[in-house]
Amino acid sequence: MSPFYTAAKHMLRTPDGPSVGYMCEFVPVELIVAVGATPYRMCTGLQETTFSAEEYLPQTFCPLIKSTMGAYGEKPPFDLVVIPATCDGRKHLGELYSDDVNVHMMDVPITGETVHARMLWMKEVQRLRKALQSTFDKKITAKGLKRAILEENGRRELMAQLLEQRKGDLTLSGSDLMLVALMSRYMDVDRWSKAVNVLIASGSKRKTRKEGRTDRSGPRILLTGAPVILPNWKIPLLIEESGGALVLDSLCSGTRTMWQTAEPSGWSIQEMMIAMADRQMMSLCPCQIPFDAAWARIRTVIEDFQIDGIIHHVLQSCHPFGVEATLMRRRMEELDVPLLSLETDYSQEDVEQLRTRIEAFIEMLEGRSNR
Amino acid sequence: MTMMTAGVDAGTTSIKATLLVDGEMRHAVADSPLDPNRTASRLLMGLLDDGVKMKDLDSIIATGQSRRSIKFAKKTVTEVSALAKGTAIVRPSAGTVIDIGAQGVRVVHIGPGGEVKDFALNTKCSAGTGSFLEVTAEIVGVPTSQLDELAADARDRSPINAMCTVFAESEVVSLVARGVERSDIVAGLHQAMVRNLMTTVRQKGTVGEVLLCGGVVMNTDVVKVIGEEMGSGVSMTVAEEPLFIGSLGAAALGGR
Ligand code: SF4
Ligand code: SF4
Repeated sequence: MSPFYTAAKHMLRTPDGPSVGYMCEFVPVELIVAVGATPYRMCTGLQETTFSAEEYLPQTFCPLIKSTMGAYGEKPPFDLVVIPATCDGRKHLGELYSDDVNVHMMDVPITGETVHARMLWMKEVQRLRKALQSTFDKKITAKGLKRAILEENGRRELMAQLLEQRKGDLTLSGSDLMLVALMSRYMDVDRWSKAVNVLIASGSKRKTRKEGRTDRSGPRILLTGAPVILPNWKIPLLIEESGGALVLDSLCSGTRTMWQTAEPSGWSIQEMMIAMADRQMMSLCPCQIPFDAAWARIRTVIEDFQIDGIIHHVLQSCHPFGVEATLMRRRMEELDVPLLSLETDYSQEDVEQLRTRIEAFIEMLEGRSNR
Repeated sequence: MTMMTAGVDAGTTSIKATLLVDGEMRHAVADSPLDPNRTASRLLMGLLDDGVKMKDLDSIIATGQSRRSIKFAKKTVTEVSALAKGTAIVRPSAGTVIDIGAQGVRVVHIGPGGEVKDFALNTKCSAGTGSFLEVTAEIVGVPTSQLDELAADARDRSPINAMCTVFAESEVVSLVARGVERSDIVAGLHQAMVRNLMTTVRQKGTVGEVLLCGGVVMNTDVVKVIGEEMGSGVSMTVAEEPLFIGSLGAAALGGR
């Protein structure tokens, strides 16, 4: 795990050389890689910077938006900043940056499932390609794009293997798994893949020797909801401290869709663009409706990973995930799987309250399994 | 061999201890000082028969918000599990327990064997808890233990709209200044407090018969208002020893 811990320490250091800050999982990073720039996910988890953001933003924005705005101020240090217009916070951040910051907004269709949504999104991905080409004065070639897609797909396949090991006994803690996933947004493919391969190898060795860690044998938890970004790590840590086996997350900062590859039907630019667009459109984010696709994934995870209970994370003032909590609760009534929904922010003040809720939830799950 | 198990409920303003000796319950309570660990052990020792030592106990389980500071406990459980177990002992027919303490409101749905089915806890805000009454009653100048007596004389419940202790305080100040009867103000405070605590209750609602416990339910007027808010369809009882449901549950959980 040490390469990931090291990377986490340097996470806030913006990359040297050409770089593109992006704010959300709708962005196809392959395009950024193909143009020769380093993609960098700008979402931050720092509490300190939420306060300075109140100079620009209403106090009632979610901590993630405030923290990100506060961290970079009006001048994010990237050659280009790409922001998908999803929730209200994201929509407007770009407008708050000073005029000399190069911002590219992407129009994310709100309803994800219609034909015209798919067409609009395809055009948006093409527009991003053009913006990248003109920013860096460089053409994105079929060859370059293919290489980028294969590289990123390599990462995704490794993540799929790592997730496969989450079925049955856990050989890696859930908070470490989330860290590995988060760091994929900050480490280059080679360094990340090398370190993940080590984890997979040691995991499968342990599996064949049946050495799942006994301290991870508590109720099996799936974490869903709003992104969890370092250093705001309290939720995964509390789950594990309270005796829960955090099997996996379904967060856009974690593994939610990370395991999914882009599958072009051929290697022409057009075919690759379609494959990337389609992949990103399945971000399963509640900024899009309907909830069906996200729910389908959650159901599959519950079954495939023998989930005993779900903890849903809502960041204060976030409407999309707040509503998602209600939708989840409703649909989960048909399953016999309990849900705990937690609303919190980036402060440490509520840690003990959260701990009581999480512990009580885990005790409740333990009681059910003793039945 | 006799079975002896102990439960400590370390809350924010008081510490409760229960000793179970072959099913017989002994309770003790003390104000929560700076050192909950010492207070709790003193309470527990007071409950033991002569010649019996702490180490002779089959189990000691701590619960409550400060459960982690009870160092001599062998295990901790949350208030949620403890309340469910305690309720199953004193009121097996109850499907829900509502505990109203100094800082917290806890609503727990209980299965047939005392297991937790679901629960809701109040959020950061203390407006539906005992501390709301304490703070506001001080302005009226009445000790909290006499609030219900005073409210019994009320002709009207003065409306108090604030959802927050601090704002309610200033409302009370202005009511006092306007010369509104103290009894009406107190009756209004009870109503406001219950309205706030109902936001926690409504998160999950109640199932079956309801048991009320916690320090606040010793206030008969508060119980009356809760009854009105819940409606006549819900059957409700107040625990005989409302302070000790959590500590009793913790003690009983050690007996498994
Ligand atoms: S939650 Fe949705 S909008 Fe927010 S970063 Fe994730 S994918 Fe983007
Ligand atoms: S947590 Fe919610 S409000 Fe905040 S950025 Fe994500 S979707 Fe938007």
